Amino acid sequence: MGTSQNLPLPPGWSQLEEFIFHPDPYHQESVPRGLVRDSTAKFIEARVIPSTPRGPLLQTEKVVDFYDLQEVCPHLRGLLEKNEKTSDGVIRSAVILRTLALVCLPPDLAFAADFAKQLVGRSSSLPEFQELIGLDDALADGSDFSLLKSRMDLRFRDLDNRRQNDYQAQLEYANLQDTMNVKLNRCQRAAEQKARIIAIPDRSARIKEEIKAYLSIGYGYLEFLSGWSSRRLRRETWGEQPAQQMERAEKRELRQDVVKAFRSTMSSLAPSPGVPKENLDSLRVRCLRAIEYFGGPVSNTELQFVEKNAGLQLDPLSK
Amino acid sequence: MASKRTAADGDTLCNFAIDAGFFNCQALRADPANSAFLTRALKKGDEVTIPDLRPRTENCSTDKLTKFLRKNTPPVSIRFVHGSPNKHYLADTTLDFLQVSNHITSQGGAKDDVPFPDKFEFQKPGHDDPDTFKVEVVDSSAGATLDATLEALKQVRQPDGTITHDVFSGAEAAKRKLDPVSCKKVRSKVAYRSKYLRLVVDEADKAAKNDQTLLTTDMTDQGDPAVEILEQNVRASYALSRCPGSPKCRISVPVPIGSDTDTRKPRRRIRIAVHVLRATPHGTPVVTPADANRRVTKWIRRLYAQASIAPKLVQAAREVDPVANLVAVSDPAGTSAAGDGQLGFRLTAPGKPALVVGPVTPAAGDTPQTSANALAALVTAPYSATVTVNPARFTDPPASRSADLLITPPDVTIDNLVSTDSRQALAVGRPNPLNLQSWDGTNFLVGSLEQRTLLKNYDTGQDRIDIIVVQQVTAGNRGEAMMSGHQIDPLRPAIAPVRFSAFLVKVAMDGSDQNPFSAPHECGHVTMELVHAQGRRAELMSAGTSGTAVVGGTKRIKEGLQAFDSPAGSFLQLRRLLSEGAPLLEPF
Repeated sequence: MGTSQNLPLPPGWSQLEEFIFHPDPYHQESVPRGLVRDSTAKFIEARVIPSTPRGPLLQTEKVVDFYDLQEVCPHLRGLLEKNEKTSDGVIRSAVILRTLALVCLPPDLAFAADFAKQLVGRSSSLPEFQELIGLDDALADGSDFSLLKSRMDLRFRDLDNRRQNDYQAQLEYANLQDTMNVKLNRCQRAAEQKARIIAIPDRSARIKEEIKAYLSIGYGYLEFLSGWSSRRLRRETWGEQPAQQMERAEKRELRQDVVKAFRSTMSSLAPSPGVPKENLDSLRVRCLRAIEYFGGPVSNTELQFVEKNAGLQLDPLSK
Repeated sequence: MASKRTAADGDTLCNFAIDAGFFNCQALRADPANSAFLTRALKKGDEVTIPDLRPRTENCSTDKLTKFLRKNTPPVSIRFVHGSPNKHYLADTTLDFLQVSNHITSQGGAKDDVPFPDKFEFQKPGHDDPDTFKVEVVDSSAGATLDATLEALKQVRQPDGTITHDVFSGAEAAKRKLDPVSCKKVRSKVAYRSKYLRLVVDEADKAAKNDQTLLTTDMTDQGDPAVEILEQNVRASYALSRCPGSPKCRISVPVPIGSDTDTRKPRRRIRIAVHVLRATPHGTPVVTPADANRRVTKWIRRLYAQASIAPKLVQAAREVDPVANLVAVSDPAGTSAAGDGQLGFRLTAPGKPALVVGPVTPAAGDTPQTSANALAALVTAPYSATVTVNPARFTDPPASRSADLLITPPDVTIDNLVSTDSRQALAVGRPNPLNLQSWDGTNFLVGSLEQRTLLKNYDTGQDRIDIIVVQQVTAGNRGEAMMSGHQIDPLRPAIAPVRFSAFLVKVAMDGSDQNPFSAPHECGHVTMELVHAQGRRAELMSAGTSGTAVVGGTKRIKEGLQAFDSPAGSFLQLRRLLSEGAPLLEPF
């Protein structure tokens, strides 16, 4: 007679199971911290499969993004449905491609950009377009807004014919109009903004701008820049210049550059037209958490300051 | 010479007889003056004739010890007690009210980690639940055991406004009765006590421990939603074994469920208003208002009875139209303007001229409120606009607050957005009744754009929980609460039209009994300002409530300290209901 026993789960797997598959709606943005990358990648490879629904895929995207989990890129490719026949299928593939685009290496990015074009051609409703705008945002250079715009135009005309007698069509029509006029345009402008920052050749000047974007100071299109800036700052610890920041390889001395830049920005924080004085403590909390995240020293007094002023503040760059 | 006594409710011929020195009511029954009372219980005002005692001579030897036993002492009595580990039965406190238990019915101990004891004597796992009780009967002439009866009595409103109590009718009476309640002689040799008993409010709990529970629940599905659990009485009664009558004299004691002055669980009412969204303007509601009301008078009532709180519908559930009349400035990040673009929109409404609002050019650094006020100033008759400022999300600094313009009339159409400022974008709230945009982990004190649009149109006040029913929500949740947030994040508390509200989806508010705890769970968030209970799965405030009302389901509001994730710490939920929920509660 055989026997069996429950082996202990690998580190972090129970947290990942909870966060990805059974997220508490109040904490669905708080990626579990302190997980081991290797174990996290193995979890995703084992548990996130082609039939995984959209919700867990969105949670997976947050984990992969936070941990820059390039290890799972081949696995993510294998999740793609190809020839998506349903709206849900298009959305699932958009989420998977976006996850690839956020963390993976140039060959994967090229693959994602190529696949995205086919996917856009199969898209036909606002929820799909919304995800595809997010995909275009992540692809940056590889994005093709014109193709998406033409699909939206097609849908727009279809909804225009139906909206008088169909309330759902009326709602989608109005929201699609706003998406085309505002969101898509802002995504394009944000891409230009990002390109300008990345093109800054001076490393310290570039990091300074990325920190400003991360702190919502000076820059616009923050719905597209906030997440991007935290990714950029992490990549600044992988190599001197963007071209050297494709493959994750954290370097201690480069982390120190980011820490110093945060220290410098924090010490110069002052009220200005875009920075009300009521926000200064919160921005200092954000800087201190980033410093700690990148391994910089944080004094006990500073930790107490964070404790006192953080409230429920969520900072992407935090331990 | 015979005397007269006027009966009060609950009096019996036997207790009059015993008071007068008789062993039982044999002599009273033999008196023709009492013939009307031989086949019915005494009623208030009945005049009972008490015959004289008949002296009898008993001869005894003076050089021997002779014992005379008074067979009618101590008097026959019945009462409710909780019991104690070491007091004499006489020293135990009489319970003058009972409470619905908040423990897992089949379980005992403070942590519900052992079976509920089914023995007569003191049992610590039964004693640990302060809401358990025992029926105690004192009868010096009964045998080794005796049987009492326990039953729920419903309130009856009299024309003068007073409340009396009466048995439920027909089959309902049988469901709400425990007969027999076996009682066993305790060490005193004259007192008998039952096993530990509990009041329960649903059929699953009743079935889990049938002989140690009394069902005290609502009558919503029986067509009488006004029957309140906390207005019912529980009556224990005992037919005296020594009584020669048929039927035998029956002593009884009724006690209320709950007490307004109890320090642990004082009775309160919680004000609730329900609004059911129609699938289309002037169309069909996603559930019927009657079904939505039923969820309140059945499941919210049942779940909160354990905390001695009764729901009060401050208005009948109403149907409301989907609206699309809110313009948000800088949603969701709440950033100030860059000064590099313009903001504007167009308003149209049936039978009214179109109005182009703006565009305005915000100055660099203008807050969303400043920009919203500038736009509102351009909204002229027949339209009007009201500006409200939202709290910041958790991802944004606390002064980064988006602002909303609520446009009237509510059937306005807002389109042709001009939104070119790089930091301050406009967005229109168009709630989809079939799939409402959820909040997420960053903005549950702000509300999504669609949630705010509904709340800023339909919220009816800050002294009640406004529940809005939709078909479903984008995150797939069964409910989403809008808490006050002043404890969760004092820098980012919810604002008045949004806080103290909840969204419930169709499957949690329809005419079925599926997802019975969703609405009570969301009300718990709002009332206690607590997010999710950690550890114990049976807690009402656990994440992810049970789909059905099973005995081990997520339906308990634990008595002692309970750990929560946010605010992080351990809390006494019963206290928290009263303190954080104070604006929503009223005296019973």
